[in-house]
Amino acid sequence: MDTSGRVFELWVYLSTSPLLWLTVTIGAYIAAQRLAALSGFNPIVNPVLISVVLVISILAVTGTSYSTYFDGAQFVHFALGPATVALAVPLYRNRTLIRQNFVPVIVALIAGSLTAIVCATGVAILLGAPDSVAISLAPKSATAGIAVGISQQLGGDPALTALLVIFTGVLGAIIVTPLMNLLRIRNYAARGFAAGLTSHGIGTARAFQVNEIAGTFSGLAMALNGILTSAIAAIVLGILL
Amino acid sequence: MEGLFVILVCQLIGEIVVRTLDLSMPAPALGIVLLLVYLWFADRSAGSGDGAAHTRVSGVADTLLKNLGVLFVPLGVGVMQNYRLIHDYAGTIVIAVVVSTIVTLIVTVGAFLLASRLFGAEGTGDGH
Repeated sequence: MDTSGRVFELWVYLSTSPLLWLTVTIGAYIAAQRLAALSGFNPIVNPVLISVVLVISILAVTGTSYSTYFDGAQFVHFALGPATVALAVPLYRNRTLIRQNFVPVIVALIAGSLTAIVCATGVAILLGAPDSVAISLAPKSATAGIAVGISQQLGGDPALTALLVIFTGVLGAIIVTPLMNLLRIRNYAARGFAAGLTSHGIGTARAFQVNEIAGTFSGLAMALNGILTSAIAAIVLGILL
Repeated sequence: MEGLFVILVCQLIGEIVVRTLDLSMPAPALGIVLLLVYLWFADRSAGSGDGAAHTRVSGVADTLLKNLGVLFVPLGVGVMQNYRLIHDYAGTIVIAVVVSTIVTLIVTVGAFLLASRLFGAEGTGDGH
């Protein structure tokens, strides 16, 4: 057999094997992280967003379907569940901090969580979006592992929600610092809490770059908002839709 | 290994409860609550304030959380399947996300500061 025949045969084998697409997923993320580091961790250069674009481009060029890709990528995807459960650890570790700031934490959590759901869904309904789009928007401030589950259970589009979660994360990470400076807010606990509640893990990564306390409060807000959003999303949507 | 086991068991119990009771809540969200309860009880029964249970789980937990970003990628790539929905409602989606992100940031930070002032919490930030 000639060389090109062998290469083709190898490609036919590899392109449907989980190994290739698992490797591509992790490779794309590492490349994206390098880019982010080169940019000095500018929030616009978000590694998740870049990896998604990179992987979609590779799939498009090679004519690979999403289901073939997912056969490999599911091994990474699976870890999202345990990683979400793991949010309990920073929450537990900082329980003294929560106790010391109990009232502001609870008040900001309830106010922020409700605002995130009502505002996104409300704007979409006012602009005439169908229910599936409005539902997909509702949990977008929650961390991806939870938001996608909510969207799926309530009749939204899980993949759209995943993208909206990333979009909200990147946007919040970009605007939180200039916005808070503009509002002359110097309480880093409050700033961080807002960043994590609105923009989950991406906001928390950003908050840790700005200030240690902001980062810790951001992590707390991410975990708490994930729990609260999953508890109230169905009720709030029941009223709005 | 034990830490991973504990995390998986919490998720598994979450899954069983959600499906049995037909709750409209993702299993990992319940898993967070279960893991919190586990850590609290395990530390209590070990008789230490911040004891072994926390340390056992935190290694795995920190590794998972440090790499949270890559775990979103397979879901994000799923968008290629329904780009039409995004294409058709791009304007609405962008406006809804931008407006709600700004409003949520302001409401959350405002609520936190207001509650701190009204209830005189210790506060950890500098200034107000």
